[in-house]
Amino acid sequence: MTKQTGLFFSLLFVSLLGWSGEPSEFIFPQGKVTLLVGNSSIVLHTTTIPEWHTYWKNSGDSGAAPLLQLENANFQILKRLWSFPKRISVEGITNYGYENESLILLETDLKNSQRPEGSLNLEILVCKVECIPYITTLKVPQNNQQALIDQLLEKHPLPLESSNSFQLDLIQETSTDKQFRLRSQNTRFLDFDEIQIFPLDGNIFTTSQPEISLDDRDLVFSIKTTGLKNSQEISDSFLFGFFKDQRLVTSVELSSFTKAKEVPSYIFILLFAFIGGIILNLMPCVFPVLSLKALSLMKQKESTQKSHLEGWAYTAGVCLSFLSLGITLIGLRLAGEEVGWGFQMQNPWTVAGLAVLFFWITMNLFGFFEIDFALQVNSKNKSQFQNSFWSGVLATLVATPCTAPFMGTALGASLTLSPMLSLGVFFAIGFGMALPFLLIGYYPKSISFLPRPGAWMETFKNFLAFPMLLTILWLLWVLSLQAGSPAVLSVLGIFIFIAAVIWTKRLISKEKVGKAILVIGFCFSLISLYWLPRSSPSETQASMIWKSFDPQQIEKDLSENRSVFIDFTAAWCLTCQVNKKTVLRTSEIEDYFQRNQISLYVADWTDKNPIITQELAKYGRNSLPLYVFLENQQKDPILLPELLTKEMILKLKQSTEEK
Amino acid sequence: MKKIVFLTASLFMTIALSSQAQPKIGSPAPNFSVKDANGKVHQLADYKGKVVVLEWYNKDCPYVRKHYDSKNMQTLQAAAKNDGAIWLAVVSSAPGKQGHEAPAATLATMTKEGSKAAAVLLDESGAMGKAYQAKTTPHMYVISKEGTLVYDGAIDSNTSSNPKTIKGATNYVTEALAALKKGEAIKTSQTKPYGCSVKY
Repeated sequence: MTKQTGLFFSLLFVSLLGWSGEPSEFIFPQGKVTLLVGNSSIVLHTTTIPEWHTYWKNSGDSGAAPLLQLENANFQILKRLWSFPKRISVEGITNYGYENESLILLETDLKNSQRPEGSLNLEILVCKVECIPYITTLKVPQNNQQALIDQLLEKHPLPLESSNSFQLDLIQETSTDKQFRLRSQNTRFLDFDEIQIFPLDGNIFTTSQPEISLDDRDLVFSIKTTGLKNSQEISDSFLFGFFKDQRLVTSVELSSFTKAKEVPSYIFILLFAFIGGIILNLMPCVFPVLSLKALSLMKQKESTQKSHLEGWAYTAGVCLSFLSLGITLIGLRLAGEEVGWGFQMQNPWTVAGLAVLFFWITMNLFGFFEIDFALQVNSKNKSQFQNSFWSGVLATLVATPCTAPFMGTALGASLTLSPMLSLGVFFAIGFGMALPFLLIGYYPKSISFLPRPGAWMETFKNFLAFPMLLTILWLLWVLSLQAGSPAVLSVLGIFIFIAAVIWTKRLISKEKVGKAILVIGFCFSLISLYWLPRSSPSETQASMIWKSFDPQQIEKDLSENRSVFIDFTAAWCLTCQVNKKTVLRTSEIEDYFQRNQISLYVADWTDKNPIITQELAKYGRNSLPLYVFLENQQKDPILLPELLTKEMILKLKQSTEEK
Repeated sequence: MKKIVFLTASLFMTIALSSQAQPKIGSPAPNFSVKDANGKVHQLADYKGKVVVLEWYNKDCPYVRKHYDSKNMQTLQAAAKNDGAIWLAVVSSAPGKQGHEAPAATLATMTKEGSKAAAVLLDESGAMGKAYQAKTTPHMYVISKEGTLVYDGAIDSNTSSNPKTIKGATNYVTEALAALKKGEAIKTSQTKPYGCSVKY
């Protein structure tokens, strides 16, 4: 009799002494398994003698995970958690499993006071090179051994089931490989010197070592696939273990958030961008500037070379502005800044600057001064082209807080493109926005329904000062949220200064001097913004039922099976404000949310906020507005269109029920 | 000129195919030339026009035992033989490793098992196993009359070693053979094999 079998019999004897009927422990020549009961969980503790191993839930090239099944139990298994495995390579075949000790923790619905009853059918495969399967039944013990379980868990920590510190994305897929990016949500990865990656699904992924590359925040790895398809529509999941000095520091199981959803082809992205650009003309931000443009167009009676050139000048102004916005945006992103569409409006100086600029335009529209200034309506022929160009620039500048339908998809998709290609997207938006005016240049008859030019135009021009003033009001509101009331007061002070400059100019009869005063005054009004006071912005007031964005809380809500609605918004996003007033914050909709117990979150992007930028990226977006509905953990997030209607919201719960 | 392009292209294709490590469903199955327990050499080319089933075998593997002790494997072999298919069991265990036996002992084992396989190939070098990337015992392959690999994977859908689970499991080899017979497309043509590792 060998030493091993001797040990086996003596252990068997000991275990038989302690138990009658089915024991909670099973001893075999290569080791033993013990069932322990804790407060609300059951733990299967496996020990094997040297050279023998058991398997993880994905066993790798061969072998099999232990199979567990409850019988006659007065409780249910909610979740299975496995301790961190290791790669075991035997003769060219790689397995994922355990040498020495391992734990499988079964989370149950046992209450603290409840006495567990039942037994566990266990089939466990133990291998060296050769394998021996054991099939047995273990009785669920009666005595609570939480203290012992705690000790074991300390030695063999279980991986976290999810983590907000990381995000996993599928970035590329070929017929033989899948490439993923693990991004640390903190600025850097935690300190580690080794990382181990285990795919949860052995049907899809081979056991070959993943190729890993790492920089500050991103870990990119590619892993060979078997060529088998996912049997179900599940996302790819991996177990990550971070080691330092050969000790497991932390381990976490993550599923890739972005599924291998088909990215629309480049032509479609451009088409979306183009359509979005056309619709942008109808969005509230652009209206005042466009009405000015429309006014200047009314004077054209026929299609002349001049009107063509003007149309092209305007188009050039819009497109070049979009391109420079695009270059800035891409540049900032390459430099590691978390920015998105409308980023310039997150800067209070831009907002204040626009307010000052608009005030000058207002004064001009009222006819308080006449000068060849960016948006002069009655200017001389010579500068007409320049005017057209600059009105294009201005239209772009004020359009940026708006996202038209289709544009969100295009801008989001442009994130994944190379810089050159994504500039194409910006160009397409610009061209779409400019196109209607370009066409009017060629076909002035299309606006022949407008009345003939005459004295009424001067009155209409004066009237247009009011939408301008309303825009200023809105800009000041945005500014008040960004930089507080001192900033708003300073801008109002600058307005008084502008009025004073214009008043002085009118006193002076010499035209040249008057012009000089205006130019100096204009420059100074903008330069003075440099000293714009900034107090820390007051927190945006979340209403009772709208909580501010909190990824952890959302995770918790979902795990408790509550649905979640996230409103990505910003004060400077006019489309967002419209949706908020007409749909989201109406009593009908808020009632609906409460009735259906949907947790509501506001992610406010008024100021720069990398967390929200990343969250947007998770949904393939980098622009506002975005509305996300998360029914529960299993279902895919639903992204609502940029322009909401009440019906869309009221359908949310239904549509997910039908699915 | 066109000819050169064609030649270059086919050259690259050949390189691509030969470097393709994994046998591919729908592609020609890797050829082999291995002696059986009677000393007869078998080649895939010998069986052109016949459906060929390959079964990786190791007499001491509990998963092989699951299918032999329950007579499941023998029943499958008999059914395949009836339909005119050639069933080849392959032992890729290296000398000294589990499952390896001398030719005479192998024949005795086969008689004891009641095996209905046409032959047992003794792939001591593991060359055939590696060409097919056989990972487990039993790892099953089905090759069509045209020599195309049409199934690669597990014998059935239940990965347990418990013979009680055979009933109720979907047998992929049976499915594949039935589909070939009817000339239909094979529903499941690739699965993850389960069982003991091949003892190369």
